[in-house]
Amino acid sequence: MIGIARMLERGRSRRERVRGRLMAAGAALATFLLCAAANLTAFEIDEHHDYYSVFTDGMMRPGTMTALVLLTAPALAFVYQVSRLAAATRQRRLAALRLAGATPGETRLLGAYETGRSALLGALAGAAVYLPVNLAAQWIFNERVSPLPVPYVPGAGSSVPAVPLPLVAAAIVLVTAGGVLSGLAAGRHVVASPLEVVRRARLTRPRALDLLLVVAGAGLVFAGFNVVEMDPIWRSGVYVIGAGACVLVFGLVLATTWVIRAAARSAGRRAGSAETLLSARMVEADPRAWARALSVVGLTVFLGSAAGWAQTFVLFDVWSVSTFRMVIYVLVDLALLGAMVTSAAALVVHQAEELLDHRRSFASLAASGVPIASLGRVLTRQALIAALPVCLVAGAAGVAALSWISFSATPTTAWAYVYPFLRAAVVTALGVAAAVLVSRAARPVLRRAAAPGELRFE
Amino acid sequence: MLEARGVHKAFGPTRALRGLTVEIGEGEIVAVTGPSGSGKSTLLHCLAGILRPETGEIRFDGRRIDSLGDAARTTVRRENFGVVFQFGQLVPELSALENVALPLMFNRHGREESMLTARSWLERLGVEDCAGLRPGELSGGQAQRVAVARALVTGPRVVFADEPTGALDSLAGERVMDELTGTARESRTTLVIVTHDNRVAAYADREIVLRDGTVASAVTA
Ligand SMILES: Nc1ncnc2c1ncn2[C@@H]1O[C@H](COP(=O)(O)OP(=O)(O)OP(=O)(O)O)[C@@H](O)[C@H]1O
Ligand SMILES: [Mg+2]
Repeated sequence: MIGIARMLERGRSRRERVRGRLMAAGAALATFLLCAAANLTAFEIDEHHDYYSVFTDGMMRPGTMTALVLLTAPALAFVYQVSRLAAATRQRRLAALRLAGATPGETRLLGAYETGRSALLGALAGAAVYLPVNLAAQWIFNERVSPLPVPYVPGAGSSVPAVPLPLVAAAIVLVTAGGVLSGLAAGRHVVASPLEVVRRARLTRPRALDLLLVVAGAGLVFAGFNVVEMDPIWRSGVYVIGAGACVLVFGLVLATTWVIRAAARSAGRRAGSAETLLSARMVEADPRAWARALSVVGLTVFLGSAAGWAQTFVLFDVWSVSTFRMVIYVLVDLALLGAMVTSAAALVVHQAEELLDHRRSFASLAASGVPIASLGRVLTRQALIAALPVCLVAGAAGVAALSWISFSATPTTAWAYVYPFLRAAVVTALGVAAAVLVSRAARPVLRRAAAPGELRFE
Repeated sequence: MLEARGVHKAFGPTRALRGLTVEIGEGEIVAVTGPSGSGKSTLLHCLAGILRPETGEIRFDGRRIDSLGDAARTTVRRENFGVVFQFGQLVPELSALENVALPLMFNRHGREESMLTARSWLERLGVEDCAGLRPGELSGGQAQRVAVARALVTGPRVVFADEPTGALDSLAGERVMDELTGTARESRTTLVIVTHDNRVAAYADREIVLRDGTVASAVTA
């Protein structure tokens, strides 16, 4: 088996090599972020350090860890997106293997070997970057307050350098396992036919599981807030809130599929122009692919608008403006920006996949006289139809989620209430703009996808 | 009305067309035949303004179209030509009805009006029962008749068909050919069909046989 896998690897096309590298890069980023989150467990809880309390404060640390774990979501989404890239070529290859006598199990194993290998290489690279960064930070901060992974022993005057090695190993295993699983999943549809006609399964109705996740997540968050007050020492409530937030977000991500499909349906019903009709129907036919690509954008918009409430009370001087808080807010926004960029990368990959999928339709439309500009509008409208509802829902949910903060303070100016909404609007617009920009950037690729040569291939 | 004069077209080292000259009259039904790789599809694509030959001229209504830019050729195609390929040219995400209405909507006709016209074409080709189905749910013969409807719906002056029955059994193939040639004669539409099937060629007024990128013979039926 490994021999066959090696042989296949040597024959990989350039496109597949690129895919392997992209996957490894995403896996490296995810591993780095997971390691950073794991790192925080090495800190001694200590509430005296103003600037570093994000790492050491018993209340803030779980929040920071949750944020880091959530930041791996775009990275993992990127990895998954990449594993879908060039899936058709890869499936044809695996189908050819089946014709040559491989069992379904063996082809799936080969698929898993390929993606698992990229994920493992990436995970090792991510850990390899993390370790020196970590050691350097220890060396720099050691003499001062040991904010990084040095268990600080107050009064003892010394600290023991610590790298949570078991957790780092766990992060590597986790990311590699993710790669293996996505490879197994990708091999699922391979059929032993040279024609390889794969019809997409149609979605029928929302799965109960998704709604269950949303409800469970919201319940956990709510329960967490109550536990916080009951258990001031261990602050277990904070962990409950963190876990609840993760579950909630996961459920929301799955729910985006139905938001997108409903939007595409109604756009298709109302469409007056060929471009809108075509784009609505294309989105409707495969809302899952769009949901995969847009869920991280939605997540970023959600967190970005939610953060507005916390910021408003500092900006408008209700809570005291401390440098510490300002620094935290800037950090949060930087992290959100990073998430947005990563999710835009996932969108690029999705756009490429989309063009590969539809190249025959586009080529035959172009042959019958539809201008490339019209086809370009089809791409942009698809992005709008899918991204607009997702970002609107996410932005509104973000504002609503943290609106309870406004009850706990009495601001001096009405602007304090307006700011979060303005910010949510801006963040929502940014999310939609990212999707539209990616679709516009794909126009040169579209020109190639719609070339008459594409008519030659099935 | 449509002519190619001294056309050369190469793909890298492969010389697909080597100084080919053909002329096709208004309302004529022409079959292009010849062995595999003789350049039939390439000729069709050149005549339809999809590909540009390296040398030689393509004229439509006396106007050169090979020297036009991409946008201008696209306009010529959408205003005057319809195309039918072997298989797979329908958009899989759209229903049969929407597929047929699409060219009209691209020409800025209203949605309702386009759907009505499209439905009448589906009826004419005997596939109105398939209006709501997607291409994946159609049989090969039904899909080809929908494709023919899509090519004819804008009332083109020339229809180009590349092996329109290539993926069908003889019965379904005959049906598609009956509809295609019947409608073409009725509306005096010029029809250029690439085929390697003699029975299909028998529907034509004239047969152009290609060999190695040139015309080997022209047979008038
Ligand atoms: N896009 C292309 N790239 C490279 N070579 C091409 C391309 N299109 C056509 N050719 C080559 O040009 C020659 C003529 O091709 P063409 O498709 O016109 O043949 P054909 O007569 O339609 O054959 P068939 O009956 O098999 O469809 C062939 O040798 C083919 O390999
Ligand atoms: Mg051909």
